[in-house]
Amino acid sequence: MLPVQLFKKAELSSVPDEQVIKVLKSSGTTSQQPSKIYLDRETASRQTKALSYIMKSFIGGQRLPMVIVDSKAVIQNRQSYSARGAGILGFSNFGRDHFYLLDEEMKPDWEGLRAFLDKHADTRKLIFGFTFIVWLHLYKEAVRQEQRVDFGDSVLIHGGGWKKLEQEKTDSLTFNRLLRDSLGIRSSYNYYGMVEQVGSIFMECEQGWLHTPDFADVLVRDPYTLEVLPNGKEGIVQVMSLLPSSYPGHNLLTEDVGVILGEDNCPCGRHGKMFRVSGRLPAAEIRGCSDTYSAT
Amino acid sequence: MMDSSQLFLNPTPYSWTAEEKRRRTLPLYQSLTSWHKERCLPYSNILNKALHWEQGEFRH
Repeated sequence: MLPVQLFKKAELSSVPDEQVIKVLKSSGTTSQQPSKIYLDRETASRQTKALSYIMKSFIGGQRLPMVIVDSKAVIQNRQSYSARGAGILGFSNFGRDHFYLLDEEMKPDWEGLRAFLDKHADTRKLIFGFTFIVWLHLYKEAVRQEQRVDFGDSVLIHGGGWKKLEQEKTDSLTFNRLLRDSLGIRSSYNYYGMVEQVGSIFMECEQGWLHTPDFADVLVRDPYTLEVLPNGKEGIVQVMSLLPSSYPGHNLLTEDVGVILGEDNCPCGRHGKMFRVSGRLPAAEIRGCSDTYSAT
Repeated sequence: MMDSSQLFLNPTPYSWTAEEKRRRTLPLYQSLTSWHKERCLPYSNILNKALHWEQGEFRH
């Protein structure tokens, strides 16, 4: 098991340089050195396939018209992506006719959005964004500017951390309710994932629990002894994924605190462990895509 | 690396029970650890240091 911070301190690649097709960079705020994740063709392909299987379980297999609550500028460099860019590109595979809601200054294009929603009025829409960006630049801006927008039949996928929303006393249920009431977004799914394990994300089901897919798993460890804790006890989250062969990211100790809530018995019908992430270790660096995003 | 992804990537990714997953994937994780140890020197060094720590070499 490797502490996830070590990707900031060491060049961790298991393939020769010429086989690296893409480098992903983490979103740390305070460290001078971002994590660098080296992807070869095989790992990237497995990540794409894995993510598509997960998404199919939640939104079906059809490509939906897609609103991306972010700026296209984030994905302009095609060789080296930030965690945010990698997230956008990964999820954009599940949509079509992509509409980027925000400009480079993170201002929403309301007229463009209305035209997009009119064009796809009879179709289910996929919306993707990082939690805090959706909150700040879609929801709060719509409220502030008194914009009346109804997304209609739509599903939002969002992730990247809750810390900034918790500071505003907004939890997942409140977030979902406000987005439904003010913007007509019919359903929302949060996910937990990290740039060090792209592809094997943990999606929150309709019951509000994060689920482990067959090719990934979690353990929770005691923060002092690092012993594996039984289900129901809170501790440090360890994430495992069978996807990465181009870098040693298959078994990582995160800086997140969480608890395993059960195994195989979620009413949603998905097998495997269900868990919840409740925050970060007190001394940990804030590093999620959503949590590190600064609005100023 | 021999692509073993057909052993764990399938279109219904929540089909294994937690116990079935442990049984099927433990050897795959062990094999991945060996793969990376052989090919990534910093990773190998980190694991070796951790092992020495567990054995008490750095506990003074």
